[in-house]
Amino acid sequence: MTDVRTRRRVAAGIGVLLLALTAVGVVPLIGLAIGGVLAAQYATSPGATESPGYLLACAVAVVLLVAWAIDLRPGLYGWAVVAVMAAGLVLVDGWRRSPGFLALLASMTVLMLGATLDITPVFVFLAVIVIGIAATARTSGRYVYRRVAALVPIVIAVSFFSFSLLSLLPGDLAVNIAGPGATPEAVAQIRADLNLDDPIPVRYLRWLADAVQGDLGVSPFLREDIVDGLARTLPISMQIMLYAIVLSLALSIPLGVLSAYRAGTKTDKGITATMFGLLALPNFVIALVLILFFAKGKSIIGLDWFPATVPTRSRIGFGENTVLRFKQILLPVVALAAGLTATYMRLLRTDMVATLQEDYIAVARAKGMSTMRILFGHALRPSSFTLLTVLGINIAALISGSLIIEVIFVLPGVGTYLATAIFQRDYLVIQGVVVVLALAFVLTNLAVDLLYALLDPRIRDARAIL
Amino acid sequence: MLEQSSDPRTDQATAQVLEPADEATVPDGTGPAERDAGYQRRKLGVGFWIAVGWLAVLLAAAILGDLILPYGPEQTFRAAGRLAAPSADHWFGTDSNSRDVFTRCVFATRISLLVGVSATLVGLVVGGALGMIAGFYRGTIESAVTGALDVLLAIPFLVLALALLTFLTDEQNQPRFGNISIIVIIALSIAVVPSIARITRANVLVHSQREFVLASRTLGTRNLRIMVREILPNVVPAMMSFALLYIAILIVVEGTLSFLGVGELSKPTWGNMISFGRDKIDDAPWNVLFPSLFMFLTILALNYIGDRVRNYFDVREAGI
Amino acid sequence: MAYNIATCWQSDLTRAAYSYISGLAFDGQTVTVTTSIPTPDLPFLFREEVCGFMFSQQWLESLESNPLRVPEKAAKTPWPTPPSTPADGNQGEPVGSGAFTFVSYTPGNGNAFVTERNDDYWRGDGPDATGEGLPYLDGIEFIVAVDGESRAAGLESGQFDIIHTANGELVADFQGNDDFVTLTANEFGETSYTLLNVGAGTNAAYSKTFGLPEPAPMDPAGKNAANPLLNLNCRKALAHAIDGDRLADERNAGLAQAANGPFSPGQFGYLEDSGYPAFDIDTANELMDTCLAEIGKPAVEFAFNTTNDPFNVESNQLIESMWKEAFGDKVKVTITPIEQGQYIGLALAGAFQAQGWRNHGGFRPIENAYWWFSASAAPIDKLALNFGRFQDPEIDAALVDAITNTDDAKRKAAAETVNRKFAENVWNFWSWWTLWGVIANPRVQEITNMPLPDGGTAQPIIAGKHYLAQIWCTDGNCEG
Repeated sequence: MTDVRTRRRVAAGIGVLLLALTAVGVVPLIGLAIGGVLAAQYATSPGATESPGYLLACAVAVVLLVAWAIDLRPGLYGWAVVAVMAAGLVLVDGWRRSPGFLALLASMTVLMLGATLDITPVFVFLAVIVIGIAATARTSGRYVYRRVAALVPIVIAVSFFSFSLLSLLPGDLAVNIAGPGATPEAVAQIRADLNLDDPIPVRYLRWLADAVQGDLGVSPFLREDIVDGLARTLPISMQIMLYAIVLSLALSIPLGVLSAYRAGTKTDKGITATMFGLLALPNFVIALVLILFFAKGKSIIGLDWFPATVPTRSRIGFGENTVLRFKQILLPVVALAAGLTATYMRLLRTDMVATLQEDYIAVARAKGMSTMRILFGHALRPSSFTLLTVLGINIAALISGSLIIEVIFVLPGVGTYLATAIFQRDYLVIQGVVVVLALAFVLTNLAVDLLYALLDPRIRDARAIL
Repeated sequence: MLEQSSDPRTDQATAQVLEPADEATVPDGTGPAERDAGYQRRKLGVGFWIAVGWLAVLLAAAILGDLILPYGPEQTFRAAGRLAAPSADHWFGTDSNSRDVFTRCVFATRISLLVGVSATLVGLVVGGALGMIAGFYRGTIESAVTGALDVLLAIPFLVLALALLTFLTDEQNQPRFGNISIIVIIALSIAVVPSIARITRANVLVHSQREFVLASRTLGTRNLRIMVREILPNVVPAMMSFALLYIAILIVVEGTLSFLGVGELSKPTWGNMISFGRDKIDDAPWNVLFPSLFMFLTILALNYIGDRVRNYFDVREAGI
Repeated sequence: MAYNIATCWQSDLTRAAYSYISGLAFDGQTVTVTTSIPTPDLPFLFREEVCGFMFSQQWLESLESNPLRVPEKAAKTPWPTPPSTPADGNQGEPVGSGAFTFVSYTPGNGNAFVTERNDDYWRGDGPDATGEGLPYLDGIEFIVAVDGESRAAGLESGQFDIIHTANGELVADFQGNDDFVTLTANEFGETSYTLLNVGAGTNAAYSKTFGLPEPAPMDPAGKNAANPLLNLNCRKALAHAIDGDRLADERNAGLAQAANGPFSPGQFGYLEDSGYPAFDIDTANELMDTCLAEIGKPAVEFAFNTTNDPFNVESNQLIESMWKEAFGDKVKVTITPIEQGQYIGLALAGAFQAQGWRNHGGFRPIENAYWWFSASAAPIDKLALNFGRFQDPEIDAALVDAITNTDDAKRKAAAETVNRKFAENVWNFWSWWTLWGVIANPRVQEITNMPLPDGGTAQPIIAGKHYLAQIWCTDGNCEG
């Protein structure tokens, strides 16, 4: 077989191209397959960790996969993809030495199984992440096991914390559910139904037992299973957030690199100042400005290109009409991505400036390496740690940002769901959403940490000792 | 570096992150940045003083508002009319209740800054103490505190703030105590504690492994003494610059809450002014433009000062 | 329908207002309602879905935990049981028996209540239908868009075909915009006003209706005891300080007129001059001094609620600024924004001091009387349709007369008395005749056209509501 390096490049090249196509929804299925190959390829190639861009592409691929799967529920159709992928992977690498491949295959299987059996995507999503982490654990050893083991208490603590908080807060849940002026009998009935007279730990355990079985309870206000509510709202928010992350990275990485490379020049100052300004603009102001300038029927400068709202009715699903779909989500995505771009760009620039002062860069220059090669091949990876970390941590921040964007653009996402629940004091919904968000947050950060450890073996070793 | 730069709780516009000294790279620059130019680092720069000046003017106007401004924030001007364009009498025009937008922008500073500053201060004291403990001690204490912080950090900031805000008001939506601004401050103070604690911890971690601290420990100095005498002075400059960033963040959060229709609505804040002006943006853009501008400039100033201060102190520290 | 009338009658909430209905019979498609006293305007009551005609009987019965709808709670008088015709599909879902039937409902901003064409509509082409071919549309989706400005943007940007709004400024904006058709109506419409909670003392009328031995205490927990609005002079003083014309004008960009009572122009009981306190700063100040002396406080302080919609908050702010201009520090109000769903609940339970409101569209007092009877004023913390919980024996008597008198002129006169009594006692602060705007893209046709079987035309828009059956779109395409 060809050497690892070449193989990786070819895979990366094709992968990125097809990823791009997947991202715009032209070829979801092929993109799905290639995204899988990419990720497996990454996990199996010994030298793969050298290229952060490639890593990032893999991460994006996996995330896109999940988003796509949630959006479309591929069903039996998808099983074929899993099979093709499996065959392809065995051909490329041989399956024995490829834990990443196994993980991916397992994830895809769960995804498809979930879709086929119509299990709520949220849980399928979480299962995929867990499998991914478990698989990575094989490659990263003891440290990962420790981290994964540490997750369980955190998630339990988060859920117990929010559960107790919501239970202890002023106001009677039963009265709240029954509505103002309800008869004492009706309130007593609700108390009995929900076992509200039991002590909090007992109620919590009961909730937990239901929750791990995928039952988060029923919202008394919406008369809807909270799991269904999440399934209805999460994909919408996730889509916007994912594209916001992708867009902000696509803008901030080149800008950050350019700015660091040209540090001190007018270019650098211009970019830095613009980003600094962008950072001072709240996203709701950006959203208003975008609508004012670019929304259909609203634009004051005649550029009426994009719809001003995206209610469910008008929403175009993944892969249906790519151009229209992008037109639809562009304004909310840009409003959400603007601040992210500024943050990421500044982070990357800072680290990059420091990296470019390292001796090995000077050596590389002396060897006559091309500037592009030095910047993207050698300097980017060691400069991207902070960026990666913040990327993970920003998941929680993105939810906050998405909340107001959803209100402005009439997007029925999880932010609106949660805000309404808070206003109505719909405790069970708040509890369910907070726990799922917290779980997603913790898992994403673990994933980022693991990626980070893979990027720099020194960290992995150092942490393993701690 | 990893931990320091993680400001986890911010919404996107506010994810300000530690940026070490790099403004002062050599200006000849065609190639990669070079070291040095230390003389520039010691200066705070003109921009810094402009930013400080803006904040000072704003603060003075907010405090002295009643004395120096001819109009009140709730005063209506029927002669000027509704949604009147900016003029000599009404510099920023009037809003839909014929109130003076300029006066309201200035008075809005009160709530916006009050909320930002007080919540940050409370967050600094509580979060700082927690972070100090978590960063200094090893073992059980560290695990317990960081565990608790991790739990809180997993809940999105705005969600936590919104939930606290809702629960601090009774079923008639009246504040359970004080007034709505105090409730907002309390909610934001609590919500901001974990992230400040986390940053403090990261800073303390750096210093608690330094030679002078290790030396003190070896000499058997009491822990509290080491924390207060050795670590605190080293952490304070960094924390001060973070405090400025947090004020900026919280101003935006306050604006977001007002925009969502919770929080302070009886008195002007930049956020609620923007929210109220939104449906008149076609006819009277000044209703949105000027409060946005005030907010923008203030956040910009706070961010910039924070940046400069950090650079300034980083250099001094490096000089030790 | 029979079942729904029965539900209305049996509900604790509405029963006080329907005491004149004494019996119900049905035969095929005919429902016979018997009343104990003459009620000439009764048909007006069935103008719209007073107790929810859209819901299936099974659904209503399924709501066991809902204290408002339990049939067994009912009735001392036995009711005929309406024939139960099992509907297809999910018994828990609403059905819809008009021009459009229910398909699905997903709660939340941006989601929709989806309906589709009813092929069996009685004015359609079905077997027993009139053959008019109605409705023309294949279906209608009612989309939730909580934010008013986003709603307007969605219309301008093509995601919505029709929007409804009571935001006078938006309506004015669209009236100046030739790209859209803006329909407004305030005849027979609602009144925008400030609802005042005056629940105090005891209520004998309530006790009588519900068979309680003693007059019920209105505020057993003393929650409303500190409300200065309990004092008539305080209410009068505050009312005199509101410049109604300016309020109506400025909040509605000159399109709406100041209101002076619960009956809008066109309704029975409407008066040019109801005697409601006119804008008069001097009188206001005199009354304010009396008020403060009577309540023994240095200032009138109360919470002035509103929904969390910017337009409504600003309306409250304008009223507040008028009070400030007249009284300075003697009036301290806290404007509290509250989420819409919670808002109505607070009104029902009487858990408020004053809140912005709008209601009472219609033709005859019978349609609105149930909001005003003393018997409807349940104690605070129980549900009451008389949200403000005022007890006014004169209004009670006049309302009964306005409903039961067989002489049109006398019914009208009685309604006018109701109006005058409202003004005299200042039970509410009237703001303006609500200006509802129905704004549509120009492809949507005949939003307001509803020919009646007798050849007449139905009132096009009442309180923002209009008919749907006749609507069609240019070239059969609403999107353009």
